Amino acid sequence: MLMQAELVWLIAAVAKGDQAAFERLYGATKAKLYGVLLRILGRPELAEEVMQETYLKVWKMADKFDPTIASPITWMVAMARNRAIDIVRKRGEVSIEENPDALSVAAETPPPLARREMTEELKRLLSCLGKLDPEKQRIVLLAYYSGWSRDQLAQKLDIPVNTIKTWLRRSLLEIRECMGH
Amino acid sequence: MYDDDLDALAAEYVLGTLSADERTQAEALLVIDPGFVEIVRQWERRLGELNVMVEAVEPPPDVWEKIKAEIGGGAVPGDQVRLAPVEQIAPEASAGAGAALKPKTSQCPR
Repeated sequence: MLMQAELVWLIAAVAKGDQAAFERLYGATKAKLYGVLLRILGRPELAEEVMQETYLKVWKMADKFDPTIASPITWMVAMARNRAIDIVRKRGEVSIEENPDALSVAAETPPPLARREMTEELKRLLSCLGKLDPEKQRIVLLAYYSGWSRDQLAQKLDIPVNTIKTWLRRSLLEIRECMGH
Repeated sequence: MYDDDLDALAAEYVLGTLSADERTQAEALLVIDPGFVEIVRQWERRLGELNVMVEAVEPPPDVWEKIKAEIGGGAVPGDQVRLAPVEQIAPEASAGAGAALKPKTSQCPR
């Protein structure tokens, strides 16, 4: 992965229509985006479709990118996740039953990273997450990595959906307080 | 309290735990309420770093070939990867795009 400053520079070049810069941006970010999409969508052919959509959006919206608001990879991953979650929600909650492969792929959160591989922002977020009960931490992480709805979390973890709703809300507001603004 | 409700909606929108209907509501708010846009951005900043821990997976090479063809030749009318402008998050538009993305078979070639 390129340094963040190089990615910012590449997006600025892409905003001017520089196709070579776009290819380098794709090369530097494709595996991260595809990894995120595969976890949520489960099916490679769907993940590939969303890859195309996301990068075309990056191409068209590069001039809207503001490096003071987001890091390049966070901006791109947010776009990709949003689209992927729209697709799985509209496909309906039933399909998770029909697609057990997707379930097993996404059933666990990723293994912990060595601290030296973490950004400062991630360390801060994880220390705030660490203040939540282990069960609530797991729900937040599973939701992020697997793209599960409250109903899916309830079903998978065998916890009433109202409890999931209360826990999520409380956990997220606690994270907000802990991280400040 | 109202602020916390809005904040929780934004947080769950970013986290991805909302139902389809609630997502549609949040997307409508994103179009009309710049304050909500800012709250969503804050949550993307807070939670977005979690992507660092997701394992990278190399996509098949033809993904880039398709993207390159799109940007080189311009979007072809009727092409399923054609993008709607962000302003148009009408439910029927997204439903149409979603339908176009549905896999042709139920088999999972992994």
